[in-house]
Amino acid sequence: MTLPPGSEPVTMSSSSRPARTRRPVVRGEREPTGRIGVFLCRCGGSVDGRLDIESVREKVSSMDGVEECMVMDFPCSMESRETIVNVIRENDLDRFVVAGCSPKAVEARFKSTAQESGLNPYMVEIANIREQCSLVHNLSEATSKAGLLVEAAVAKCSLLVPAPHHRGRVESEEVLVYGNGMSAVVATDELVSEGAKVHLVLPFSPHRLVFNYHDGIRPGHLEDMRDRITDSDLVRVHGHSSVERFEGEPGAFTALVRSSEGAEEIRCGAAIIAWEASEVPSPSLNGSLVVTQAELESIMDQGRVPDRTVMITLREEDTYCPERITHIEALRNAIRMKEMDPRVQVTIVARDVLAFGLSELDYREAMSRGVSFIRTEASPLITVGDTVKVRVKDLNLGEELSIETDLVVMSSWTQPYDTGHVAQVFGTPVDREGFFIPTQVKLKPTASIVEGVFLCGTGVESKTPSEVVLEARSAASRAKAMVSSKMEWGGAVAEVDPESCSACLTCIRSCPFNAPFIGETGKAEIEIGLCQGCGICVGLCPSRAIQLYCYTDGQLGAQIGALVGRVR
Amino acid sequence: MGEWGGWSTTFEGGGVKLKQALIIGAGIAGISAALGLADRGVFVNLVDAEGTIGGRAKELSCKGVDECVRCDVCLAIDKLYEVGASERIRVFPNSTIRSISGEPGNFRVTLERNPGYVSEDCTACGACAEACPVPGGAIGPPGMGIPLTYAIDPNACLWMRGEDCRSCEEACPHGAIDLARGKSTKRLQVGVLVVATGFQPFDPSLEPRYSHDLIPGVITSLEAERMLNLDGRLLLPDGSPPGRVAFIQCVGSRDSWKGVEYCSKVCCKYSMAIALNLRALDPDADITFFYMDWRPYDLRGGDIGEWASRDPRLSIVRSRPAEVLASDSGKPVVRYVGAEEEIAEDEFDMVILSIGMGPPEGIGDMAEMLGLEMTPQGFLWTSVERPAMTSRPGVFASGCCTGPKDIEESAMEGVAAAGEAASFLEGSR
Repeated sequence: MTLPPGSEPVTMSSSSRPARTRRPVVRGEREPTGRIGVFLCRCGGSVDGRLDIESVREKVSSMDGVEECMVMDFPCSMESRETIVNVIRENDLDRFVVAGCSPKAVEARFKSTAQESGLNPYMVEIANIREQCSLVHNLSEATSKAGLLVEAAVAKCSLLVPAPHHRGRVESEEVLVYGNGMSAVVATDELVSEGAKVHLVLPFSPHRLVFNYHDGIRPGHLEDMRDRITDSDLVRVHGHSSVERFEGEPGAFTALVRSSEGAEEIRCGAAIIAWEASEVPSPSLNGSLVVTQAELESIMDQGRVPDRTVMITLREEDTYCPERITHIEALRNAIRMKEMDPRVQVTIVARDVLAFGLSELDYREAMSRGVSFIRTEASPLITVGDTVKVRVKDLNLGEELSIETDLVVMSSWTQPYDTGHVAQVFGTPVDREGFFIPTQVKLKPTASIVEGVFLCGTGVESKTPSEVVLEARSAASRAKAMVSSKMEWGGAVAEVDPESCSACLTCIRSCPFNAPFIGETGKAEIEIGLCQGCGICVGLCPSRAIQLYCYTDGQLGAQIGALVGRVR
Repeated sequence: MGEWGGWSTTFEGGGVKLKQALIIGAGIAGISAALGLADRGVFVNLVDAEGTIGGRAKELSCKGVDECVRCDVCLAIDKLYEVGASERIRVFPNSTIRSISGEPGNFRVTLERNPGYVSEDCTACGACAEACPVPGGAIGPPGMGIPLTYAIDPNACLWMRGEDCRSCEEACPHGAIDLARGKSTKRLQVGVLVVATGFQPFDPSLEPRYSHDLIPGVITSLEAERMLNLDGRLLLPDGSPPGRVAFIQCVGSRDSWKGVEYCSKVCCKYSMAIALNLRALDPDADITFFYMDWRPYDLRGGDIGEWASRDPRLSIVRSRPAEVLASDSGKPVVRYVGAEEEIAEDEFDMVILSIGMGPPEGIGDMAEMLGLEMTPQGFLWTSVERPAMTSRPGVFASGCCTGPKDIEESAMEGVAAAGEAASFLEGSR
């Protein structure tokens, strides 16, 4: 077990109870011990009445180690929790079981109840006899299932050992932003306005940052923002640099930033990867008759507008994979052409016009200005001569059309480049095309799989500039909140028994969170600040040297044994 | 929770920014903003007109079939527990804003608390329920509600029905019950406001040609979600499962006749998820989509064209139906312009209207009271560059009251609003 520098174990010894042995024996079987309290919840009639709680109480109170077993109305209410604290103190209990509703709803409360009683917060076991019993079964089934679940919880509870529980001091409140475009600038701006110090690491000079304005953002706004942050006292810009190494844990990361002038170690509390995808050139482009939307914009910037234009928003591949931004871009540019000269013909070829939300207003405006739309499913065939011919199957007419035009504008597709090395350095996975994969836990928008590292930008998913702004501000806001908060680690974390470890590196290779490492003794150790308690290393370790606190083999065995009958 | 008494009353005003926030609306955006502010040490008053927090999302169903389809409904539900566990968030259910005065940094707010028979002093000890003489009880806990306080059922309560019984009032050890109280007011002083009042689902009676409430089997997508949420199935009024189901997209969206010129963003995504659920429940059900443009906001949700190409029982029709009529047997018939520009009619067992999002009720009054600008579409105006900034300092807005959004985007905007509000309080903005 390694503690991050500066963190200290939370002391549990507020009662007169003798302190437990310091080195918790996680590994292997352990004799059931302890003085257990069991608190059964009536839940105001949603448990009691739908199952026979008295018979559950009778069954459980005779179990080994159960010193106190009582039925309460709402153990989760503040008043009942005070009662629980008193019962624990009076009976000198050292662990307890609560049977009531889902642990999701109540576990946090009972952990703090345990702490208030002077126990380790993980000396609590919750049995769900509401959602899993009384709400879904008839009286007799619910009663017998509840009895089993509570027995299993008691069996597991008797083997609980105090799990590590540490509060870390945030070593550095600075935030590292590693990016290559708009989202890096916006995230830095948000951090600065929230008062955070920022290291902005860019692969090139900040003046080479380019921005896209298709979504109502005031032209020039992002350049102003860029100049403001590069001048800010709170920001250190590392231009022409890359992050070569990134390690540590939330609140205390170390990044090695290399530039042409050398390498430098930076301390930071959190990091934001703000990577933008870049355009993938279409194979049909030829620079004069077949151009990109960006090239069309520079033609219009020179005051020129062709008489006939066809815009194609489909990809030149079979897969239908629309990007929102391409449609918004096409609509805005079509409107601009019509504004410059209402006589020009503009045709947009699309399967569906993706004008989400208020962009629908642009779609309406384009239609009212006379822009025509052709619906098709396959990408049109383009033949270039003196003019360009576009052959397209119109779904509405059911016929093949051949359109002669002066200019074809292809939407470009984006793909993040160079994300492989970023992914490797930070330990955040990318998919086949190079897009960063956000954490599977959908409960945390902008979170990456690595605690303390946040993701934003089109390198995660194609999005419009206003969505990039929102996401970047949200990521920055979360990073700032993280470095300003108290961090707690512990509970269900893995621990290596150094005597059994053969340093085979299986855990290091298999951990998705980069938590295991080889320590000074040459054995594997786990950074508890990074461990998410997934249990993969526990299952894969060939020496069975790793156990997970709160879910040890012995505890799970006892729990299962109580449910299906123990085989001795 | 002991900290509450101390900070709520003794702040000095006068140029000082009070480190307290008022969040109006406890849906996903409001909750995200509340949690974000609480994380930064700001005390939060979270107000909602409903009896429990969670907003619209708590009516929605998880749409996962074999695997998660990223409908994000669980995101909202799980956050409720975090609010319940936070000691810096105080929830005022059944409450509305009566007035707001003062200036950014020091707003004076008066809340109107609707039938506040039970005050926030309730600890859910259950003494009142034991004392209640009504068989089955007229007072009880509101299920898994947050906050966990008891509520009185005015229809069952003897006192409310004119009899002389105040047993619960006498039994309450905390003096939390006052049957005579009725509406009450509460004054608060806060530094910042976050408006997160959500949206109003389109009222299908405004689109009478689709015969909602007139022909059995014509339901809104929201009704379909509630049914899936509570029952796990979609059933016709007679209790049988539907064999032929139609979805009509863009009801109350993209319709200038109804004054709704925008796209509601979420309907393609959620209706496809409902359809996938239907398919999982009944592999033989015939499903038809009537739509104009297929716009799945979360593009990972899958493409309807691709689905239709491999599922012979899924039809997609690019047409906006003219009306829904009743057949001789009383079933809904969808009338539309077919592929050959002919008038086509198709009979279904169930027609699901994919209703869009409108500005929330009372947002105009709220904007006037707070001096906020609105968009021509009737939403609160916020800056594109700073997504939670309204036209007035110290007042922020997030979620669907600034335009249609999905759950994930609302959550992100709530987090962004918390950042803006916190930095306003800290004086750096």
